[in-house]
Amino acid sequence: MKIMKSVWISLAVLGLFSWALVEFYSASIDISKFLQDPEREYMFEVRLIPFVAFFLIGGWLAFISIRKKRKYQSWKKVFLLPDEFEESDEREKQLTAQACRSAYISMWYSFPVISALLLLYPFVAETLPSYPILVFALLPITQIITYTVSWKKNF
Amino acid sequence: MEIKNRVKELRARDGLTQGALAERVHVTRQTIVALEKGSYVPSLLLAMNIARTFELPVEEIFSIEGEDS
Repeated sequence: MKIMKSVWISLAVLGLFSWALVEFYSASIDISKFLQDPEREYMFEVRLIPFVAFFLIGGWLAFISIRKKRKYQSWKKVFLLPDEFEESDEREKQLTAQACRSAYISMWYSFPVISALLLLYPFVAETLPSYPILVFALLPITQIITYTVSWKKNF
Repeated sequence: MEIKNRVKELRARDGLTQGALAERVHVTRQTIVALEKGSYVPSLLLAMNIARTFELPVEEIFSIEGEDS
C-alpha cells in the first residue's frame, strides 16, 4: 500500500525536524544568556548533526516525494498537498475525506492531553529543557497516525 | 438500506477483468473490488459509466437490497 511509504516519510521528516528544533532550542538558550551577559566568550554552541541530517535526509525524502508526485499532479498540488493524500479516483477521495474527519476529531482529544502534559514542564525543565517541543510534536504525530489508521481501516 | 449490484456477474458475462473494467470507467482496480464486495456505493457518475460499459440501464445493475430489480 503506497500510503504507508508516505506515512513513514512524513514521520521521519517530522522526527528529524523535531530533533533539529531541540538542538536549535539549546542554541537559543545560549543566545539569550549571551545577550544578558555580554562578558560571555561565545554566543552559542550547537551540534550540527541534527541540522545536517534534517537537510540531507529530509531533502532527499522530499526530492523522492516530489519526483513521484510530479508525474501525476500539478506543481500546486505537489507542493501544497501532503503525500498521504491518495486521490486517484472517487473512492480514494472519499477515504481521504473520512481520514481527514478522523484526524480532525483526534485533534480535539489530543489537544487537551498535550496541554496537560505541558503542565509537567516545571518538573522536567532542568533535565529536559526542550520538553515542550517534544510534547508539541505529539500533535501532528497523533493526527498522522489517526489519518493512517482510518485510511487503512476503510480501504 | 443497502445497495446491491450485479457488476461481478456482468463482468464475467463480458469476459472483463477487474483491471480492464476499472480502466474503462476510470477508477482504480481496488474500487471495482470494493464495489463487487458491496463495501462501496458508487457515485451516480460511476454507476452511469458502468451501466454504459455493460450497455444496460443503471437500475438493472444496481438495486436496493430486498427490492426486485
